[in-house]
Amino acid sequence: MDPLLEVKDLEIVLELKERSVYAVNSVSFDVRQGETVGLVGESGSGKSMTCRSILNLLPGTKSKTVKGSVQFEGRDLLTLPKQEWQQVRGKQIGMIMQDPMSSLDPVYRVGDQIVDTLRTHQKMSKKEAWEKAIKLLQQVGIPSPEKRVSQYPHELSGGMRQRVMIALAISCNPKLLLADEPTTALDVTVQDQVLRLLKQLQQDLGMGILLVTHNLGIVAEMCDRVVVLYAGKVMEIASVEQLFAAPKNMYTKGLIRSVPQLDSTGRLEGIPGSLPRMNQPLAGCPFRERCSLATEECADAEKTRLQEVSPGHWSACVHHERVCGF
Amino acid sequence: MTSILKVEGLHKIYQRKETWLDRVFRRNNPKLFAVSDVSLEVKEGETLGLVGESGCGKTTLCRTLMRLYEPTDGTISFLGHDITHESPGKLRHMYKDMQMVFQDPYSSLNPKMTVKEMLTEAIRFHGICTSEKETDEYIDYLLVKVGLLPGDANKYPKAFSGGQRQRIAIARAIAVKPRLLIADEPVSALDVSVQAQILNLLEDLQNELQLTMIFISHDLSVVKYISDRVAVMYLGRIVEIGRTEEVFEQPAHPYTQALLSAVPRIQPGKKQERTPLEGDPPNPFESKEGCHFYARCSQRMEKCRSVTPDANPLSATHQSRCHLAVE
Repeated sequence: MDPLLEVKDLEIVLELKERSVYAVNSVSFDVRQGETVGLVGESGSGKSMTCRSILNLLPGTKSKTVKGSVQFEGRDLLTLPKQEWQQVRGKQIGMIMQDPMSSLDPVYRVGDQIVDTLRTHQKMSKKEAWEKAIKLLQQVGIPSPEKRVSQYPHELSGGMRQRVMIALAISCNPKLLLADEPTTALDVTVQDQVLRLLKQLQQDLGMGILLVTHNLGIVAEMCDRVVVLYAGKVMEIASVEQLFAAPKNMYTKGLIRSVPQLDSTGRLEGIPGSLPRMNQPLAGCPFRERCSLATEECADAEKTRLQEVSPGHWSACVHHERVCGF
Repeated sequence: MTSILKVEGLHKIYQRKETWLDRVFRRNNPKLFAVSDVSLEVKEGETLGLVGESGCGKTTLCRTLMRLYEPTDGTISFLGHDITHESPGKLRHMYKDMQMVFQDPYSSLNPKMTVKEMLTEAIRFHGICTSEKETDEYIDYLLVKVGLLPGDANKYPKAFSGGQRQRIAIARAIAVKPRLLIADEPVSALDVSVQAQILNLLEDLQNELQLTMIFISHDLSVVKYISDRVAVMYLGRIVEIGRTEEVFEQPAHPYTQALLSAVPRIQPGKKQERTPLEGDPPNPFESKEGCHFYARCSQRMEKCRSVTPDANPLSATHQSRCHLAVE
């Protein structure tokens, strides 16, 4: 099956006043139809950057260079002319942002915002669009949608707002949904509701989801495949079962071991040190300074390239064979 | 074990001051019930975890315990003294035994003071060290203790990462050798790999210095990891309190059960039985009679609407504020 979205050798460099930030280094992965791919990493790992660059939504004020290719249904999104973006953004690819408080327009009613999206992409009368908006709100599980549709965002709770965001994102039946930390701003019980809703919608609409998150628990419950990012580099790509049962990269392993879990006792291990400064081009494995398996080979760019270690399981670790027993 | 902190019937109600507009329009000023009727006891050497969703009053509770906020009603006694109405002057001396680590390490450190200046201030005020040389040595000792380098003393907070800043905040809190440490979400601003380091540091320090700790978090797994006892809060009330294994293995309150089942777990494939929770937390502005959880509870009864449940004991250490606990 052809992938829906294929990101290849994506590189993003931000030029700040006094330094450059190498935010994303040669990131490649794909998302197939109907599948959920998790993009997981800590803050500063480049996961949001990657996600935003797919829809050309990177902050525009700073000068930046973006290299590589993002193929979506045979089109390269990075070189797409401005006029054609309308066809893609919001229509074929929907996006849910992290913060539902700031991503809805506070001066328009919820219904108007949905109607706006619908009428931009589809031929619809205002009345039809308004009816559709009510249906959408119902679909995302908002009680009494006829009433809610004419309310303003400030009248809704955080969970409700995120549901409205989801309604907006799926309003034109997108093939791909980008969810950038969709539940980080929410409480656990509400997070649970929103995640269940996303899963339900995926089954109903058959869309692919790229789920950006830092929470491994969410990854385990939601995703089919996982891409692990560290300092802008893909460390590992695996199915969710492979990743948690037998990680092939020391970073992934360290990450899993640092998370306190409800079902286990015993001391947490943590990873010593902190993220490297990303002000020069990456050479070799960015994790080597915090890694207990590191050798001189780890500084070699060739050897730390992403390679397939078993079917469907990719790792960028030179010592991937030793990770499991360690 | 002796009790170090004892709280009885604590209430914190916020109300805006009445203005002339309120009088003209005969408006009633709404009251926000942040903490209602909280009673708890913290024993020497233990870690009490305080867990709940945002807006449930956990931060207000601990800031009221520190007397950073004035309690509306109830009593707080610390080390046998009633501190509910202690004067600010006496409180300053009391803070030698009671220290706090705040949530956000970016705003809780003064950006214009070096680490050394920050630490010296507390050490000098409480008379921990007398001479300058002794102070310098003690600061080096503290920095090493929290996992920093002695050379870091002359740097400003901006030179440190989030995890390192939280270490500085911890060093500042333990510098005066407190008996009780209140940690308000100390790891929620940090990444998981750094979070584990800080949790381990707190645990080690606690064992070494025989600290008593109140640890606040919205993350159930973190609370389970670090606490001996756990209190679950919902809308200003403690709905369940007990030893960690009691609360996590035999949760008695329907809210605790729902909360536990909502946590995503790292066990792909193994899906557990869910107690899904519908709706959003209700409005804290109206204090209703009856159980605060009534509207969202899956096991609600007629009684729950009108009768406020008491803290019903399930065992000597385990209590639940639910009518079901009686039967």
